[in-house]
Amino acid sequence: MTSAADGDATAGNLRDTLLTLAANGYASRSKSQKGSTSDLSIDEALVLHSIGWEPVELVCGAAAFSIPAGIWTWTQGEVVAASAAYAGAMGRAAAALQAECRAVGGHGVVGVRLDVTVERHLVNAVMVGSAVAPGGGARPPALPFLSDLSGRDFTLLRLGGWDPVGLAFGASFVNAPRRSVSVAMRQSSQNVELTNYTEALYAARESAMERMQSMASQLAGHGVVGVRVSEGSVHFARHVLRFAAWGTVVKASGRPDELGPVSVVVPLDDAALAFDVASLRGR
Amino acid sequence: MVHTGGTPEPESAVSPDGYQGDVPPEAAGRLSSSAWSSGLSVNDFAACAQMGIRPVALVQGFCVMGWSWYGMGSPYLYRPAYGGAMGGAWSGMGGFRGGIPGTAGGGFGAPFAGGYQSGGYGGQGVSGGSYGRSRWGSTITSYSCPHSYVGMDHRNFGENFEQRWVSDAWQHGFDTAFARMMEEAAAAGAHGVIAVVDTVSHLIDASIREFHVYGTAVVVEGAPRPPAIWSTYLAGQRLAKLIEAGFMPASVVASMASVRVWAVCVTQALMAGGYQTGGWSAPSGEITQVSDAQMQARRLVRDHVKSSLGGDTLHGAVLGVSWSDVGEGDYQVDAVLRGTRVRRVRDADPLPAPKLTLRLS
Repeated sequence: MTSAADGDATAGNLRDTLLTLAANGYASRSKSQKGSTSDLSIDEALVLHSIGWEPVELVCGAAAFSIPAGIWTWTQGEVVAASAAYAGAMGRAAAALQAECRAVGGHGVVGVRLDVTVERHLVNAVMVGSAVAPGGGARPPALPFLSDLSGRDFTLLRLGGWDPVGLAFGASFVNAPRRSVSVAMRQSSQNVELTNYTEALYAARESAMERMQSMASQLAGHGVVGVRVSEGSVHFARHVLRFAAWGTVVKASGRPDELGPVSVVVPLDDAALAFDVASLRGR
Repeated sequence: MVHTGGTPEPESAVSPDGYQGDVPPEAAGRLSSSAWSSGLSVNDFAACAQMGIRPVALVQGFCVMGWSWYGMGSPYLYRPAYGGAMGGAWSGMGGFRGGIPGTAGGGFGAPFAGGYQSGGYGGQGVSGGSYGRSRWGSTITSYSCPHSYVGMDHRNFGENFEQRWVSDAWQHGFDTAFARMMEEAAAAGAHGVIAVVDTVSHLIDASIREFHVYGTAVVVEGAPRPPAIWSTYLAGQRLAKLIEAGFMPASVVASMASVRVWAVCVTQALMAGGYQTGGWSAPSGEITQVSDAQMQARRLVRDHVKSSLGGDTLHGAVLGVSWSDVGEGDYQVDAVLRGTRVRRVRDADPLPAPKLTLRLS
């Protein structure tokens, strides 16, 4: 999305604007008596404003869940209590974020940043974003939407005929199957696939993706956009592999697509030689 | 108190502890010399020049603070005469782990509503408000043991406590450094300070903290001197867009909140995986006291900042939070919120109709 404003004209106008404002002592035109906070950039605030939406308040949701002792011993299959604690913490944090959004009169939260830490006995989930609402004082919905997309992406979605519904997430912690002594000895001297770890990774992936997509269905969404994935080992339990996926659930709004024709731009300064997968990567 | 911006008047530059705000004579001489300095990037400098904003000086303010969580000024060293909220703090010193509320800290006058109900884990007491408030801090929520058990090794009381002596010290360090920067800006004849950067870091060792605030003092060419010098974290193109959108920066705003978790038995057990040395066990699930602390630190710092905004808006808020496990279920959450206080100074329709482009790369 670009602005067609002319650079020189804008700078000239701004110089005049500044002089006019300074002559008035930068007098406030605000009618509001209530201060508000927002972590949106000026670009995001402007692009939201262009579709009639405004930031309302910086809001947060947080939850800490306990992971019982003894569950990280090397057994078989999924570490169910850890997966449940992760889901519980994320669910409670999302609910707290929605409650805070509702309390400040927001219709939803955009730019939600997820911060999840997993320790031996603790899952800590924190979500922070800016509550937003359309101008005109429309009544907020009972269940505000949550989205980890930026204000710009939210605007594009709206104009494209889609509405964000909520955040969907899924995670799974899986024990790698134990190897027999003979297999372990054979593998230790060769560069071969460690199938037990591959299997565990696939199992964790499938459970996490299934949970995320089930959650999207429960939210009556049509799909999940901007999916981020994060996988790896657990530093305090080296036999456990983890996989987490999350994204914004969207559904078709029924409004017509307002984006209109798209101008294609072919930049000739692209130094990249390969597909950049960074966009899919979570932390 | 959150700094609300503007140039400190000579009277207001004297803080309650007697600090007299003075620009050092050498600095005053340098600021009035003909050569100017700027911390702007070339891009921002060019954008500002186009708007008629001219840098006059790179201005800075410093404040070095002694820093201790448990030292002078904290309740850990004192047994307050009026008890109240200090009970949890006092019991946390080691001698009264899980002592009976009201005995460890000199007496809690108010009943603890709610709490972890006997036989269950899920309720929480919300107290705060009228009791326990002091210059050191205040209880935000309290939690009681559901086990109906009293013992020296059993924490049958816990609370989340706002460590105001910490946040007040942080605010003093920031506000002092900020005020000193603004004094330099005033000495340079500035209308505003842009591209403000603030850092809070350890100096020499962990017991000393340096607050450093710096920015580029500017004048709007051809404009009269404003009633108060404005300041902003923005510069260049971002500042231009803000003004184009109808806003004018009033002041840089920053504040801090610190919440300490004095764990009740259930929290202590859950933080250790659900078991306790005394034989008490707790079901797994949400650690409500820690969840509350995470929310409370963020809400407190937002409230601190909002109390200074009036009808203005905090733009570009950056919320930084750190937390640490202090041990035995105790926990600490620190939150810092900073941003630019902006006010609408004109009605503007800032954005031309969006034009969608598809970049093929």
